[in-house]
Parts: sequence; structure tokens; C-alpha cells
Amino acid sequence: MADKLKVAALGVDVFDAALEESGTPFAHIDWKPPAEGDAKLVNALFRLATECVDGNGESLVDKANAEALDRLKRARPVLRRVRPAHEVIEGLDKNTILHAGPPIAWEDMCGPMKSAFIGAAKYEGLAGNDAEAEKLLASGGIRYGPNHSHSAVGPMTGMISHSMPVFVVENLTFGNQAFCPINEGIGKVMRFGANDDSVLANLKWIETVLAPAIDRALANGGVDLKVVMAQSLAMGDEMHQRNVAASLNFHKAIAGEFHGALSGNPDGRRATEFVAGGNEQFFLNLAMAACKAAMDPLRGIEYSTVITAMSRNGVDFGINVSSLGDEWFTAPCLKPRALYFPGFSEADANPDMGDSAIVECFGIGGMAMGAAPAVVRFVGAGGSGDAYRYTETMREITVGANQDMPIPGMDFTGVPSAIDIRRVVATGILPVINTGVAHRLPGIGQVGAGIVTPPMDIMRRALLAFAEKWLGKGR
Amino acid sequence: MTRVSSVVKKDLYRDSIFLMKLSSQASRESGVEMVSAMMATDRNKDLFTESGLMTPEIAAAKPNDLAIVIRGDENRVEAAIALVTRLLDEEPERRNQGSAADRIPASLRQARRADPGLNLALISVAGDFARYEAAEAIALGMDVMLYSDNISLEDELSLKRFAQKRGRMVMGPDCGTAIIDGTPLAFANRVRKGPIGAVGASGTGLQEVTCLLDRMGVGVGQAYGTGGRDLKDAIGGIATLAALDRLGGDPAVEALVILGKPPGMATRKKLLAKIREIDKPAFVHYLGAEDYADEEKAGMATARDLEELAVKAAGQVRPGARLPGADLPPPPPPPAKKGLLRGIFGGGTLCLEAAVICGGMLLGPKASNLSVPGYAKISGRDGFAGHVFLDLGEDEFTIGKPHPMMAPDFKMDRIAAALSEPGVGVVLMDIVIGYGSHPRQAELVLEALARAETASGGKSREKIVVASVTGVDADNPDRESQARLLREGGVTVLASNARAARWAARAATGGTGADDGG
Repeated sequence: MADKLKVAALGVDVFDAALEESGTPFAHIDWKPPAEGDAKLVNALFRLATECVDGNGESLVDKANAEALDRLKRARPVLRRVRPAHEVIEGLDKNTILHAGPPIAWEDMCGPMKSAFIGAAKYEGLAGNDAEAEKLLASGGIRYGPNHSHSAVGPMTGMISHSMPVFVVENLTFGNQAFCPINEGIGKVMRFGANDDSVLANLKWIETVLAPAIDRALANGGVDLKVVMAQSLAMGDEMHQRNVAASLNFHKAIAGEFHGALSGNPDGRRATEFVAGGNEQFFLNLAMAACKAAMDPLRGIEYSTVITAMSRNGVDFGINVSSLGDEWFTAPCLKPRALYFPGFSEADANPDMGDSAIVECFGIGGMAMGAAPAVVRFVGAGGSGDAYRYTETMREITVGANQDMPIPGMDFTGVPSAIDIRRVVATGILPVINTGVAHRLPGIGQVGAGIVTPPMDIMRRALLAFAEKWLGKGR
Repeated sequence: MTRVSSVVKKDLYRDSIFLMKLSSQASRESGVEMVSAMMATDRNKDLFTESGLMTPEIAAAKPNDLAIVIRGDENRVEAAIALVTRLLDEEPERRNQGSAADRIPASLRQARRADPGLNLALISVAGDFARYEAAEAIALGMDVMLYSDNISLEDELSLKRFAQKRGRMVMGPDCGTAIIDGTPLAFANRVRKGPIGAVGASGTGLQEVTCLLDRMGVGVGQAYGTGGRDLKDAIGGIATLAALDRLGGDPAVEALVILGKPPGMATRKKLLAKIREIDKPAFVHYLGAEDYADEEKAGMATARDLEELAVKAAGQVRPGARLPGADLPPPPPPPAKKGLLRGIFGGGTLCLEAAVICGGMLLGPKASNLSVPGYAKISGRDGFAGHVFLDLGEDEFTIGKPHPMMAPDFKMDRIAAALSEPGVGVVLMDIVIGYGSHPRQAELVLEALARAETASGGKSREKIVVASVTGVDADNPDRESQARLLREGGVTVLASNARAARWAARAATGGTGADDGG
């Protein structure tokens, strides 16, 4: 052996004495069985490792995943326009409403999702009141499906209907676009299932006043969202639960043009405060669109085990895996581990909801907790050390670090990016998602914030499906 | 008495904050009055002078040299110098919270991230998981020593092919022994470093040969274990061939030693071709093989047992090398005490070697739980009216339990039982010491003899107990002290396993059995 012998020991420690006494450097691993000891999964992992290789023994899966990470890093998401959804999303006619999460039937939806649908139907004038809307939805008079199937994402219930304005984010490197509605602000909002007149009026104001103003402010070519995200990460945002700096940075990027676009508009002050004042989560929807634009080019890479979407519809949690195309692997959502606002408790919590976990796929949000120590208090952990540990742990299950998104407090190491289901299953470590918690009853809104993970079962099933598809095709 | 000493490290730079910390830590921990480490700049030399610590050595040092002064009890100065040297060499601590280096790694990948220099995985976890961890290690570019067993032949082949493609090597599964760059791995002994390169499809066989070499004053550079099935045609000797390639390319290796059960036909040919490629003398012993015509044609030297293998290889690099104690005439076995032979072993290869050697010498029915030509195959728990050789390291005894070399209680019970068994005249055993092995085996044997004596009402004293001790004097406990204890307890101890087997067979037959010498 050309290099000096250095041993990693797994298992019994009786052999360590020989290493110690001979002065051989070694690390004794605090080993536990891979894949939580499941024989079928260990067998799949073993066969993937030894059989899915090229002539030099290089893993085809590792190569595909390296390609996936490379695409992720090369993404240049730029906010180009704000347009009515039907103009930019293919197939979004007046009778179609898109929702967050994997596909779900009307009768199976949770309360907030149903109410949001009712609100969206009323908003589009498809129904005059709640009863009419419900009847229409129950009778199949409205088509619906997941945002993710339309290059789109939305937070919580994630409603996108015909006339709602959406951010249009273009990934300059790959030419694809992604869409996300504008954040409605806090309080009674459709993303938490509220649907009364005040909610619809707020949406109408966004559609008629705010959206055109932002769109005009982008006339000079748009805003490079990756730059905004990297800056904001350095300012303590992880851009899922905390978007304080990002919202301000975004406003900074458009401030002059936005001011010009609102000049003489009696709602100018309201619009400015909407973006830069009253709503610290304004940027979340932009981060989501940027991450969706960055993640979509990772779809369909042969042999890749990278997760291209994680998403929840309030009942089921679903994931897509690159080489498995648009197939959803779903299982019931877990309830978040959260801190609740005064007067609320876990009993009030709706199961996890929204497309926002696309940001974790990219490597921010819970993956980048180390950049946002302020957020870690939501999960009941106190110190910045805990925040760093969350991010370090995520390195176990990701393909690599994205140096374009460095974390200053962690020696400027990049965020852990591109989640590999093999590593998730092997280590038993699930991706950490920072999330808000919706009340289980429609319209009450956010009642807490915390972290949630996907159910392990979907990772296992996806891995077995992957093994079935690709084993034997190697060599 | 207080004394001032100094050490100068040429061209070694450390910043002053580091040196201040080091000085205070070293003073504190070594118990001397003062340790002062500074770069030997003119300014710092003035400081040394002012505080009465200047020495001629420091006066002569250059500004880019590091000067260390120690003042204190002269008995402690040496220890303080050693401590300072160690502190200087230590990797700097990574301060960043949550960094990988802060934690005990929970996986191979994590360990490699913290230290990319890790290049061999020593795996002893359960077989189902061990194969996966081995694949991970290979994927990470590491060699693997797979102590674990219960891995299918098919999975072994997958792992070895994968490693072959990656230019790595899998020793095992069920590889008990290796010595890499002088580091003993798993069951191995503190043999001296030297010019022999060994490959063995057998754990205790490698231990026996490397120890015998050491006792002849000849050291071992590398000893690769390959796992017992590597030479089967189903595997094709992938690990053995990889090991031979490395030994062939290792300039420190002057002679090759190869041992194992006889290879499959196709594998034997591959080995011969490989040996022809390598321009180094090669010595081979296949346990139980009789026909070495092809090996001899290929220019290899062959041996009839492990001792002869070691002796011939030693003679190659150190002409005239002799095994201490081998030329003493062994005490003649008392003819009156003949009877059945019970061979009770912890080492599989040693059991097989003894059974093969005794096979030609013993009269009457013979059985073993190993497959040995001329022997009935029995389960280790069956009774048998005849001579019996048991390998207690076989799966039937070790599932869910540590190997008898680590935990010899069961072996000792079998020894005591054999001594109480009517008809048994001779009990033969192996004692393998060294890393991984139980440290008090000779003591346990004596306790077993005492138990047998009580149980048999003293009759067990009529029986002959023969042993060999595989080990070297650098082991802890050392070979000589274990052998002496056994001798004092009435056990006949011979210089090698092969010798002990021959002597035991002669004793069992009352010296009348076929004698193949030795």
C-alpha cells in the first residue's frame, strides 16, 4: 500500500488493541445496522453498490447523482415576469385548479384543502357560494391536479387557478420555467384554507394592483434569485421558515423600478409594505419558484437516486425520484414537531401540507439550518451548535455541497444539496423540513412552526422500485 | 535535581499563540517547573538569556528554528520533551462546532469525510450487513478486511469482482488474520518486520507461519489473508492474485509464501501463471495436497507442512536459519500410555494440518468435523469410537458466540471431558496467542487439567497432553511464558503444530504407528 495504513474499524473492539499498540491511526465507527436492519433493503443496497457499476467499478448511480448535483449547481433561476397563471401554465383553463402535494381526490382532501378549493372556485366565478362550489367539485365539474405536474409549486394548500398571478422564474442555464403564486401575507389567507370575502378581496388586490406593479418592475431583465438567496443565506435566512433578509433583499433588487411602477398609485404604500414591511415570508414563494426551476432539470436522469420533489397535500407526503420520472411515492404525512402559538397545541395541527419542501430538495430550508441559528429554537433546540449539527447531519444523505450557497458560520461550507434516497435508507436519516403548521380547521391559519420529515416508508419503497428498475442493467 | 535542557527543532515554524498554549500545557502535564517554546529569533533569544534559560544549543539556532527549553526535575525532563514533541505533531483541533471531526463517525462515509486518509476497513459486524459495509468501503476506494463470515459465495464473488474493478482488495470473508505494513489485523502476532510477503487462505495457518518465521529471526513485510474460499474456482483466487500483484511490486518483499487448502484446478493454473510473472522466489504449501508437480515445474519450492514452509522460506532470506527448540530431541512418548487421540483445536488450519499429518500415522477409525481425506465426517457434538479431530472454530460452535480463540471456555470443557473419557490416551491441542486471543490460555488449560483430575479421580493424570503454542515472544503474554506454564503443568509442548501432531500420533500408537519422521 503506497499510503500509510489508516484503518476504519466496524464491529468488535477487541482488534483495536493491535492498532493502538502498533501506532496505526484508526477510527472505530459507532456502527449501527444499515437500513435499520431490514434485510430486503440491505440486499438492494448491496446489489446496487456492487452491480450498478461500469467497467472500472465506478458506480453508475454515483455518476448520475453527480450529474444531478452539477445541474442543480449550474441552475440560474431568474424572476422574469409576474403573469396570470393561464397565460404561462399549459392547460390551465377556467375549470382547472392546481393544488399542493401529490395527487388526491376531492373526497379524500383535508379540511383546509377543501376550503381552499371552494375559495378558488368562488374566486374564478365558477360558483356563487360555498355550497355551489362544493357541489361542483364533488360532481367532477372542476378538474384538478398537482402543481408539480405543471412546473409549478404553491405553499400550504398551494392553490393556483386560472386568473391568479404567478411568478415566472426562468432557469437561464436550462431554459425551463417554474411558477409560484404570490405570497398572500399572514392571517386569514387561502393557503391555510380561508375563503371568505376578505380573502378573495386580498387576492383580487394582489391580482390587479400588486402583480402588475412587480411585473413592470422586472422590465429590465428581472431579478437573479440565486444571488438574492446566497446573500440572504449569509444574513441568517434558511428561506423556508425565515425569509426576513431575503424579502428585504428582493425589495432592494427591485426598489427603484417598483417605486416607479407604483408612482401615482394610491395603493403604492400598501404595495411596498406588502413586499418589504408587513410580511416577512414574502420571499418564500420566490425561493420555492427558484428551487422548482432549479430542480426540474434533474428529472429523468438515468440511474439517479436524487429526490426531485418532496411535497404534501395535507393527507399524504409524496416524493419524486429523478430516474423514476413523475411516479409519486406516497404515504400519510407525519405531524410536525413544532412550537405552537399561544392558545394552540398539537391537537389543532393539520397534517403537513404544501409544495414548499422543494427548497429542501435544493439544499436550503431545514438542510441549511446551520445558516439560520435563529430558526432552530422552533424545534426546541437552543444553541447555534444544534443548528450546525442539523446541517452536518444532512451531509450524510446528500450528494454534495453547493459552494454557491456558502454558510459563513460553518467555515463557508456549501449547503448540503441533492438528497440521495440510497443514503436516506442506508443511514435511516430523513431530510429535515422546516415548516409552518396550519390549523386543521379551515381559515384559522398558521398555529405553529417546526420541523417535519417525510415518512421513511416512501424512501424505502422508492429505493426498492429503483433497484427493480435498474439492477441488472449495469455492467 | 533541577536542570535546564533544550531541544531545537530545525526549520519548524509554529505561531506564537500556538507555542504559548503548548508551553503551558506541557508544563502543566509533565510536572516540570517550566516549558518554554519559542521561535529562535534574536528577540526571543534575548528573552531566554534574561530568564536564565539560554543554552549553547539555542544560541546556535537560527530564527526559523523552534527552540524548546525545559527546566525542572531531571527525572522528568525526558518525559516533558516527549510530550512537547507529541503536541507539536498533533493535528490541529478543528474548532468549528458541528464539524465532522468533532464526532465519533456513525458510518464509513462519515469517517472518510473526517479523514480521507482512511484506506482499509476492518469489518467484523454481522454478515448480512458486513457485505454492504464492505461494498461501501470499496466504493470509497478502501481495501477491506472482512473478518465477518456468513456471507454467501455469490456475494463474496460480487464483492471481489467489484474490488478488482476498483483496484482494491477484499481479504475475506472469514479472514481472521493479516499483517499490513507491520500492523497486525484481527488475530495476529507481533512478528518483526522483514522481507517475507505471505498470502494465506487461512487464518491460523498465516499465524503459524509468520510466528515460525519470526522465531527464526526472519520478519514479515505483509501477510494478506484472503478468506478460506478464495482459491475455489467459484472465486478464482481474486484476492490471492491481487495480493501477489502487490507483493510482486513491493520492493521490500524478497520472497513469497503461499498457503491454503488446495486450489481449484483453474485457480491453480492462474496462480502458477502469476508466480511465473513475479521474479521472486516463491514457497507454497497446500494443506492436504500431495502432488506439487506443476508448482515445482513453475520453479516454486514446496513444503509438506507449515513448519517446513516457514523453514524453507526463512532459509531463502537468512541462510542457516533454524527454529529454536526444533533440534532438541523431543522426549520419547511413553509407550504404555497409548490410546485414542483427541485433537481439540481453536484454529481450523491447525486442526486440518494435524489431522492430515496424523492421518497417515494413526491406526483404526478416525473422524473430524472438518472434511479430511481418510476421516469420517462427524458433527462436533457426536460421539465417535476412534480418533477424533475437532475444530471448535467451525460455525456449528460459533453461531452467536465469540470464536474459541477469544473465549476458550468451551474448548477447555472439551479438553477436560476428553481427559475423562475412557479409551483416550492422548489429547492434542493448539494454543494460539497474540492479538484477539484470550490472554490466559495456558492458565485455563491447567485449570481444565485440574478439573479433569478431580472428575476422574486422578485417572486423567495417566493421559498424555500435547500442545504447540503459536505466537512470538513479543506477544502479550509472550510465547515462552505460556509454554513454560504448560510444561510445568505436565503438558508436552513442541516447537510447531506439525511437530506436536506427529509426536501425539506416535504417542497414541505407542510409537508403533507408521512414522513419517519429524
